[in-house]
Amino acid sequence: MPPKRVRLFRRVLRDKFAVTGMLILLLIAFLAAFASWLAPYDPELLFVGERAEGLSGDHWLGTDHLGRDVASRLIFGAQVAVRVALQVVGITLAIAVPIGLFSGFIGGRLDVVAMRTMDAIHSVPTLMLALVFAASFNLSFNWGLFGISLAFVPTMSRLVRAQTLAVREETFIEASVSIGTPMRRILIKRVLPNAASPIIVQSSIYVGGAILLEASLSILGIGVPPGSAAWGSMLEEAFQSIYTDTANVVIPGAAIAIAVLAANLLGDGLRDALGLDAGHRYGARTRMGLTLAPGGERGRETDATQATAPADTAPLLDVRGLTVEVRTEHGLFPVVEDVSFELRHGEVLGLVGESGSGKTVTSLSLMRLLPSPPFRVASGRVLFEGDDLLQRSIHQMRAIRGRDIAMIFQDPMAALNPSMQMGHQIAEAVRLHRNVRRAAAQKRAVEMLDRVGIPDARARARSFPHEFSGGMRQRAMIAMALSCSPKVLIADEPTTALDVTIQAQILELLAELREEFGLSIIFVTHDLGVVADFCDRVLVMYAGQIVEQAEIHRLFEHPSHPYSDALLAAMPRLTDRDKELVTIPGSVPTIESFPSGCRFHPRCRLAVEECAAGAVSLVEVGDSVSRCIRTDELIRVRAAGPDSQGITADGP
Amino acid sequence: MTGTATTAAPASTEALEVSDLTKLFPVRTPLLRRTVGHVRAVDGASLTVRTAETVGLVGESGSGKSTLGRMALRLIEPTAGSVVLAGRELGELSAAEMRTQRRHGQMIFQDPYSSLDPRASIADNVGEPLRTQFGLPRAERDRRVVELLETVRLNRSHLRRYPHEFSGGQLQRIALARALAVRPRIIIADEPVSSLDVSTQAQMLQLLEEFKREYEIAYLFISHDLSVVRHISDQIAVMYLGQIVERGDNDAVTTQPAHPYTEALLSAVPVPDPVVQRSRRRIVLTGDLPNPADTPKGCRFHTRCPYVMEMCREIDPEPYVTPAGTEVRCHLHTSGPELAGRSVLELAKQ
Amino acid sequence: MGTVILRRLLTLIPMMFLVSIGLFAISLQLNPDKAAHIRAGGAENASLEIIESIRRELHLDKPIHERYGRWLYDVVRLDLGESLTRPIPVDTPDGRTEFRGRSVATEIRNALPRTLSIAMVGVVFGVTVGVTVGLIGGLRPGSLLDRFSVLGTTAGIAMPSFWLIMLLIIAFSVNRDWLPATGYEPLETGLWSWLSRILLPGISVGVAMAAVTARQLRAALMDVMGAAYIRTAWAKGGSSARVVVRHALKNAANAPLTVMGNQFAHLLSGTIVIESLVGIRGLGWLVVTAVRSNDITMIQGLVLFFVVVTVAINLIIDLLYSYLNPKVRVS
Repeated sequence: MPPKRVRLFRRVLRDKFAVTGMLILLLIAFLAAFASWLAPYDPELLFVGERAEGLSGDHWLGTDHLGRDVASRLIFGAQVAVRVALQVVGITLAIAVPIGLFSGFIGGRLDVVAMRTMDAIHSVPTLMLALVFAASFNLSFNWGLFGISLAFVPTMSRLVRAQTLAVREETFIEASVSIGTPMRRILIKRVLPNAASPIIVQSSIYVGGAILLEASLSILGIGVPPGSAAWGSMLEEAFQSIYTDTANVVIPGAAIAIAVLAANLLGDGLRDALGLDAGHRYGARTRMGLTLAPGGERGRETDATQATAPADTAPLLDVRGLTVEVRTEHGLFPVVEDVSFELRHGEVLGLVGESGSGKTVTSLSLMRLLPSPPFRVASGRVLFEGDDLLQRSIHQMRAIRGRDIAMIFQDPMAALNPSMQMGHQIAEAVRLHRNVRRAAAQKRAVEMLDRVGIPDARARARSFPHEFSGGMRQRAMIAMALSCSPKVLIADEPTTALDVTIQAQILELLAELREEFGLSIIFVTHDLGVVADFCDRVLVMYAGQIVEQAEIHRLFEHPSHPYSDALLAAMPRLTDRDKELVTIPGSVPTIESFPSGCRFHPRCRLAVEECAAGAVSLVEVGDSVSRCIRTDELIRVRAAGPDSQGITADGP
Repeated sequence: MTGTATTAAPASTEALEVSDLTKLFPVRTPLLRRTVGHVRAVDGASLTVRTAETVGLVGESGSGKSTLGRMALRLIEPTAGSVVLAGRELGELSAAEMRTQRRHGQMIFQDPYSSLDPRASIADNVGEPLRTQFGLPRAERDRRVVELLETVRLNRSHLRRYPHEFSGGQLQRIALARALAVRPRIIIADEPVSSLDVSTQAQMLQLLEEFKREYEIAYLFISHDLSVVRHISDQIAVMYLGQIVERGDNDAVTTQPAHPYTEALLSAVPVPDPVVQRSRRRIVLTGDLPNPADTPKGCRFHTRCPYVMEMCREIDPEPYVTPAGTEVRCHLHTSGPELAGRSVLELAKQ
Repeated sequence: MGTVILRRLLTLIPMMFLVSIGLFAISLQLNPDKAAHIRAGGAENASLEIIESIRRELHLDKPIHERYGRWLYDVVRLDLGESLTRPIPVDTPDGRTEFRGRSVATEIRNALPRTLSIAMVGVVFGVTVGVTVGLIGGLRPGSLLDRFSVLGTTAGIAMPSFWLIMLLIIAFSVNRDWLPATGYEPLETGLWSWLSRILLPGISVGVAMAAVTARQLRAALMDVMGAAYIRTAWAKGGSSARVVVRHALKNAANAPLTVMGNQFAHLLSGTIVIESLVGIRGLGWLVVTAVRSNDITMIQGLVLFFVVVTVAINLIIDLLYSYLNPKVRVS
């Protein structure tokens, strides 16, 4: 069995609700299969003298108003339920899957006709449809079931269609087409398996729906299943004598409810296990996006080498020994470990790293904007003007956010509220920190939009974010961040999603505003080119740690960590076509697989045995700080000239 | 990589030749879905990729470079124009013939995580072209897949694994192995390294170069990253709003850009060297890319061009070949102001 | 925004056409004998003459497309035809007494207030309880209250409305004489007399709506609270209340609104069974009697009515949706 399916199965088994659901459904199936052996009596057998009796040794669920054994009828009723479930879901799938698949994959006119037909069917209430079919065919049970199936078809076929559409957009489908694979094989081998998960979930939920609707039909006496021992019929008969015998109302009703519940639980469990829709089970989700700093190590000073500086020369922001952990499926892992740095007045500090380096987590931690759980600050201090932000109450923290420290993000489309006018979003920031009237705040918003270079700012303030271009959105984001004249701006990859000509515009704008507002900036990026353009000092992060800290020219001329060195050598340059690129073997480690010792050692060309032995601490190398025990060797190798390494085989 | 009888493609030196390729996407009214105009995603683009040559196609988002790449393999049906892949005009082929012809032109995509079927093993993913194109039996396929994996620095142990077990860089190499399986004349690589970390993209670039030498594969290398294109290409074509505004030899285009857009694009790319970067002359273009559904009249770049002239607003420039051999669409070269018989454009660069 | 409405209305045209075809198809099994049976005042053997005149009256002698056209023409004028059961005597202008079927439209109009009353209780219950529980869960996921609400919604979704009404009757009518178990009294007879009879049926059909709404709202809120623009709202220094009210709620409303529309249709389905159980002669009761007696014109009229209501509700929801999403408004 492929590992993915094994994992899925295990995940379903770990969900106790799903397991309960599955067991109940299996029990019902078992009762149905062996009803004749399991039932103590014939379900139609009348115990004339024992009508409507309570629970007893002979009749452990009592008898009904005609003196029939309730337990036996319940067991035989399971047969009806199983038949209904299989028949309805089977017919639904047989109709809906081809419709959805072709409608989604072929599209065009076929899709329009199919979807309008589905709309038409869907506009008739479910039970009504079943009743109409039953009515048109002499109150037949099978036609009633067909009506139920048909009522399920629109939702199911839309689901299949939506899945097909989504899968069709996947690159691997385009890849199959470009390989020349015939359409039929693409549909069967690539589309259907990838679209199957939600279909399975929905089928499970429809097992419950079918049982429920069939019971409704039975209660109405329309389309009663052959042999009267259906749970719905039992309930209807019991209801006639509800004033004399309440127990017989409770039992078959409970059977129906439990069967439906079991099907839903299994469906939900499958949905969770398939990762389709996280978030309707408690405990799995996070709270509110407020990072609290719990735990015993709050504020512990981990970096003893940095003594508190006198107040006048103190850095604006002083981060010490910041360690942030995240809880994943496999345990608690440090995403950011022992990060210490200072942000000085008026400087631009670059925070550089690749994916998984921890640079974004670091920047969000400063404002305590990470969701908790799964994130938590294990230790460290974030001193802003001498005050530890991690010790502040959330209320105090709110006063600092946006007023003293502001942030801009990578994807302004996602970072701006889609259903709120741009001007209002900026005005909100103003009103949160300044005691001004709405009109004054709005005026400030227009001013700021104008300042960041948005033409016709007054009118554009009334536009929604989606009406702006990517570059304009980022300008608006900057306007919002600077609307309260903060001291610190944290810019998290603000130009990554933009085209280079727009990136140049934004960088120019930021450079201007930096002067004008006297900003100190933490600039988070993966692009060493942007760093070279914009930053004064740089922190290089790798696998959750700072590996090098240096003044900008120093870093590019004399990198003191092999990772910085390799990164610079691996980048193609516009100005030097013939430069042989140095390849770094292997991949960036994920947080769950950070290597021991120096985290870069498995990929480092200078690594020796000691590199793996123990944690490496930061040491000063000239004007830089580097986390490496081989810096001398690096200097020697660099002096000897660059050399290429070639790619070595590696495994996941 | 032996033993497969590929149908011998006509021995032409052009792996791919596209001429006057155009793609219009209809713009419809929201209400009645009437077509009221067109987005000219690609507008009369011509391009030649010779055997064992890399042509870099650069452009910003919305320039039409990906559409052009897909039309070259008929993954998107062109509105007009012709594509000759490995000596055959694709427009004349039946669906079945086209499927066979696909072995000569393969594609690798930007997102490594979605370009392989997550529910299929590596053997299944990489073996798909071997089954589709050559109908190889399973055992034979697996043997060949292992060979292919080894050429991209993976190994036999990866055969039965699934995509989620690999890193982005590894997946991209697997996608390359799949493209390589049918020994195509050309691989169209659509942003193949832009979603990779810097530390892993060099591996990919090196492999591409290696296969070009070893198997004489040509590449149409589509990217927004000029540094990468500069590094890997023999020829470079620059796209802006659906048009190829400049194309020519790599060195000529990057060191002596003939089109103001190319010039601005080059100056906007930050160089990872603070000394160089902070002393470069930079041209920051004003404004945004115009709406592609409503492209400007005349030269498409005139709304943002620092050297715009009156005629640029009216007349769409025709391609012009500069003395350096670059083909450029810009009036400055034919009708621009001159000083002592030399184009002002050239003087400005000195 | 106008465009959105228009576009929605335009897509309704082909859909309603398909619905009309389906409805008309039901009448293909219409048989003049049955109508004649009515016209004969319930007498067993109607004369051939009557049968023939009815065949003409119902256009059964015409080709099928013409029958469809005439039927559609009548329906558009809200003439839904005559019921094929329970004849009533009518005095003709020339002094004779004729037997006619009841007007389907009138029957529906008479039954409507009962069903509307039940549905109203159901919707009010479903929306208020659903939104409250959903908010609790969405804003404090993982809290004790949330855990209870998740259990509650899971049970609520699986709870069959017909069983719930029985349990409620046992609790409130059988064991204690607090509420009447069956019947209906119009509002004119007094607020309590009216409410006491529709309360239990209304809650029974509203529970599923409450549970599904709560679950969707919770999921949507939790989703939205993880969105980047919510992080931006925090980064501005917003308080929890402000972030939720100003930024999260509006953006989280879509999915719950959509399911509310669907749930309304389910709620109507629910009334069909409930009305039959508690003997309220509303639309549901009409449906069941019509189906039992194969009263084709009545079935057609009722299906049409339910379809129109469902479509109207979904249209309103679409409008709300486009009001909440500025993006939908323009595109």
